[in-house]
Amino acid sequence: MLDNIKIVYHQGKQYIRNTSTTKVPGIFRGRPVISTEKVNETELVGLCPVDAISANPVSIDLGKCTFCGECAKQFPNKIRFTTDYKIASNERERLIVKEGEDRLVEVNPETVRNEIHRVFGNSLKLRQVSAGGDGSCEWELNASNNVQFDMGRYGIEFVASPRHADGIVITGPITENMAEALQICYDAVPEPKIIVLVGTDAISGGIHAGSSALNRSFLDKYPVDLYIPGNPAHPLTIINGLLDLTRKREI
Amino acid sequence: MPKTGLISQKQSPITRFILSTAMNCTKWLLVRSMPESLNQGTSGLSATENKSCISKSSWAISTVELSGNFWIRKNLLQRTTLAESIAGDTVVGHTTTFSHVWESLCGIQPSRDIEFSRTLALEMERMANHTGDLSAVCADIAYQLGNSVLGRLRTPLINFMQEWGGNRLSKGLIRPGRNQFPFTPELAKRLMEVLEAYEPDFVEMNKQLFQLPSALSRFERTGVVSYDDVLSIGTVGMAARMSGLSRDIRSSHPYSLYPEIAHEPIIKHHGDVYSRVQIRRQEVMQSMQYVRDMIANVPEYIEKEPVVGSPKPNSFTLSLVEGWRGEICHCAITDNSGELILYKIKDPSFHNWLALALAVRNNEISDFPICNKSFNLSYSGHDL
Repeated sequence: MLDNIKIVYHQGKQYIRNTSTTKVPGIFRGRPVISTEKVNETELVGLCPVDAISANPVSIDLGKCTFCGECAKQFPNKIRFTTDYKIASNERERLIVKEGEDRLVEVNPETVRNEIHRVFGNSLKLRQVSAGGDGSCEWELNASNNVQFDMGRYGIEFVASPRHADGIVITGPITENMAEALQICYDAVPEPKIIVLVGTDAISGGIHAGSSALNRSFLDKYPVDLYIPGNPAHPLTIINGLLDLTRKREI
Repeated sequence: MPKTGLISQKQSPITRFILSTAMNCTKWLLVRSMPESLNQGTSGLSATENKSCISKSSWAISTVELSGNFWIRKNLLQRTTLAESIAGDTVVGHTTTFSHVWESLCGIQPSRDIEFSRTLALEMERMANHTGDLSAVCADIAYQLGNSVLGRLRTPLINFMQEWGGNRLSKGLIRPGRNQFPFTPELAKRLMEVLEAYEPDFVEMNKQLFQLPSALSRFERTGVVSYDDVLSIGTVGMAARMSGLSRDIRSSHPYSLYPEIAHEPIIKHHGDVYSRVQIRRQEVMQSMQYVRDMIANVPEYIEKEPVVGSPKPNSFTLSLVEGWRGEICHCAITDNSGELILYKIKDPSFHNWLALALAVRNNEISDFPICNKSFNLSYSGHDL
């Protein structure tokens, strides 16, 4: 007993006080900024392993980007990845970062469905569906609930049954074998419900895009409420995205 | 059929595979001419009537799609990114294996600083995952303190990987033929600080956990897999070492900087949950020592043009790396023009899933979670 108390004392306070203003350590690759410098655009576009870069004007689609940083390494004056981890949005188009624009990627409150603030503003229980992912986004969703990031303090938690959930979180590129299970899980969630896509794989298929093993028809049937990019998405990206979607924050 | 005197059950499935392949190299040509049968999940070796040399399961990696992608995606960066996506918690392990395959096919000798980064990253990945798994085991025996403390101790390790390479799970860090993020003396100093803070907390928490009667009563004699069983089903890595079977690529086939480290595997004998958590605890301490020794002497990084080679035609390459779960094996065959015609991936989970199935037999249903978590196998790595 005393030993346990000693351990608690030695651990001190571990939680991140403010999850929306804290700085991430080191060289995190978050929201990119693209300068207007002239470069060989064909070469730049051809470099990207997942065709996330488009030319004229140069833009990066964060829903496709694997954040490998190769473009920033080869064209350091053109593309720079900032440590801004707030890159989640409810609109797919907002994930596209264009050259010369230093604009935040954020949730547009105008287009968030009305009932989301009202119903999920104080409490949100989510069911996670790993639809053929590599497990990295799942690790980060897990980390969002550890004592440091502590998403539970905002009333956002993961539950074991879709019957208890307010929405589903999809990770992975959605393989053919998971398509039916995903549908069953979604159907079991009571209305009103939300769909959140976490990670590049879920948003666009990522490196697996176009593979015959995928069946992404589920996403054509229902509106997606939140896109959380990243490979894998950082816990702070996940927490801030969910908070921006569900509540009107005054910070 | 050649005589198989060289091959014995004592060797790991992969060693047996290499030996049997060497003896059947002419028959491999047959395999090359029918890649479709390989891709349909029919073991290539069974097609060469080689069943008695090695068990079918030791090589039948039935993936169609991921391997298929390796053929189609010609761009090396795409291939590396795909290798990073094999198992999200073994990013360094699989990317290092892929890099070794690629460098070997192209005849590139990676420089010392590149191999240093890989070895260091592999040991860091091992520490982070073992810490996370000890936390998860605590959660499954309802020991909240252990779950919280060990869960939070994983964070500084993976945050360091982010400081080094920009990604908490080391994606983007390892690249074939070049040093994407050189390890600097400043990073070494920073890592030393991280370990200084990590070690006392880890040691204190584990000392408490491993003397807690309520924890030990759940660990001991739970989920036992015997030596004979692990030998016959061919488990690898930690799932072999838990039952007295010494299988560790770091010591049997040392690569990168491991010849200098002279690694000695940590072996336990009971094959129960207790053996598995003990191995995790001790391997964290062992890896920490390796990391400390390595960063005391960081090789100098000299900026040079990345070497881009092209794969040799008509080659067969096999690469083995000890990931934190066990041996990772990648195998590639090229055609006349040097293009990949076959790429096979084997995650250690492939061998070890059956060990979990044997471990839970005759156990209470309430012990399933700790049996499962003490192995912590990969779905994505297995379902290739």
